[in-house]
Amino acid sequence: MQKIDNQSITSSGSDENIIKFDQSNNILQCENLSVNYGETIAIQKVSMGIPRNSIVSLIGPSGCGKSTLLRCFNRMNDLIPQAKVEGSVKFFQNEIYSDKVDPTEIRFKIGMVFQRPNPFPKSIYENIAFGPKINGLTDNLDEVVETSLRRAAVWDEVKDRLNESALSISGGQQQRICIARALAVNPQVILMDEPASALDPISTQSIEDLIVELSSEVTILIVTHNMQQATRISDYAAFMLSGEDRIGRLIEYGTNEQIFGNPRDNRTEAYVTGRIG
Amino acid sequence: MDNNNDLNVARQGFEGSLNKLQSDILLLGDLVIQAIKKSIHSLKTRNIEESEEVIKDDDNIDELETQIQVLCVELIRKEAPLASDLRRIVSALQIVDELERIGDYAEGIAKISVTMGKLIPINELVLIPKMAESSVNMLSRSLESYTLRDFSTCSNILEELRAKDKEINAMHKQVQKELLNTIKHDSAEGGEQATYLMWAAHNLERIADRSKNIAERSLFQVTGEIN
Ligand SMILES: Nc1ncnc2c1ncn2[C@@H]1O[C@H](COP(=O)(O)OP(=O)(O)OP(=O)(O)O)[C@@H](O)[C@H]1O
Ligand SMILES: [Mg+2]
Repeated sequence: MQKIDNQSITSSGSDENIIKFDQSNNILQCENLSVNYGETIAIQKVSMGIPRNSIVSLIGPSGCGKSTLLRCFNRMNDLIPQAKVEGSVKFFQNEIYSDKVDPTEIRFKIGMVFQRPNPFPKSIYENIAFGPKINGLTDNLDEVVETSLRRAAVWDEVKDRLNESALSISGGQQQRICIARALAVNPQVILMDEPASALDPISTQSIEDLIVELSSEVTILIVTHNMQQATRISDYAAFMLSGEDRIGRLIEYGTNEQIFGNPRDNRTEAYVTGRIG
Repeated sequence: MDNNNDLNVARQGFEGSLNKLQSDILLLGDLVIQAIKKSIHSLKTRNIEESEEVIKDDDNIDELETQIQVLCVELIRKEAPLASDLRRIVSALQIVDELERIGDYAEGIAKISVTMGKLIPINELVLIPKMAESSVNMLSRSLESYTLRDFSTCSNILEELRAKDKEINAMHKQVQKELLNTIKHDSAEGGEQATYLMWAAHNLERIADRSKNIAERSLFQVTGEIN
């Protein structure tokens, strides 16, 4: 039924397939964002807005540039020597790629959770207290640790072993520790790169519940390969694809209902129904 | 790179099941259309054996309905369908339900015919077979829409069937008026017969209405909009 013509495979989605929001309500906004790693152009001219307190999922086949795009939003690509970022990313109307901005500070406001849980090889307590300490917030540290662990829905499971190594707990618990660690510095956005892909269904469910709960206060941008997960939790979804030229582009960005119910672009349709990717 | 080929290779089994789903629904549609035609023919000719066949054959319709529903549930469980796949399966479930109910209306007409037994016909039936013919046409058109999956064709067919449905409602009113007249002025036996025929006409009006519903579900299959 679906037909994809070869010409369209190297083009971005037409402009009307990219949802536009009232800019004053966007917590993040990127314009013409391109990233290259030396000779390789990973993503090209991506423009999109992220509304405050929404859950936005980034989907697309492996290698289309999802992680690359995600890392642009908190200047994580700065840590990759050959990565070069062009274009603009605004956080509440302020350019984060400006010289005046301290990337470390940005990374506290816009936290990140990775695919594999990566707690520091320290106690659970120290993992959570780390960010606040760096930021000089040493008052009520116990309280901050407890609140963060509670918000990450892992307090009951670890409250009696706060001084044990964070590596001694299950993968699902470690992932929630990493979320608690990000939450401890009161971020406004959390970027998540396949946060549940290494977890069993129950831990996945608790991470999903947590994401939905957090979204009343925090904006969440999540990369996932699990279409059902994306439909369950996201308000909006963005589909990326790299064509024959291997350059990743934003093809379609719209509401959950649109992307998973009735996508406008044939390539999105083919991807979400498992025909490509 | 031939993307059309890629699409055919990926999820080939699922694609095959979706095609089977569609052909099963068309088969069910055929059985139902035969049932309507036979029920009206037997009513008109007072062929009780033929009416009884319609009643017996309704079991086949119910069985095929169940089979299709089982296939839909299995596809949802195994394939976690999204987008057009999801819409195809949801509309299949809705359409299969409409078809089964239409089958029941045909069976209902056959039962009326059996109950009427050997009552002497008051008049030759004219309008009721006409209503039946229009309803069967509507049903075939709605099934055509179901297979086409194209926005403009499906919306045109729906418009067409909405208009036809109004025509059938008007015919229904006319039949009611004539039969009421018979009830008022004819013999007791004629009145009894007219009362039965009243129900047959009612069933045909319902069949037309549900055929229009099938055209609505077919448009949903394309747009994903429920209204
Ligand atoms: N550090 C790097 N150095 C060089 N090239 C890189 C680097 N990171 C990513 N790339 C390249 O950039 C492109 C996009 O990669 P990216 O990791 O962003 O894709 P992705 O969509 O996240 O894929 P996946 O779903 O597999 O995680 C790929 O071609 C990849 O090989
Ligand atoms: Mg990635």
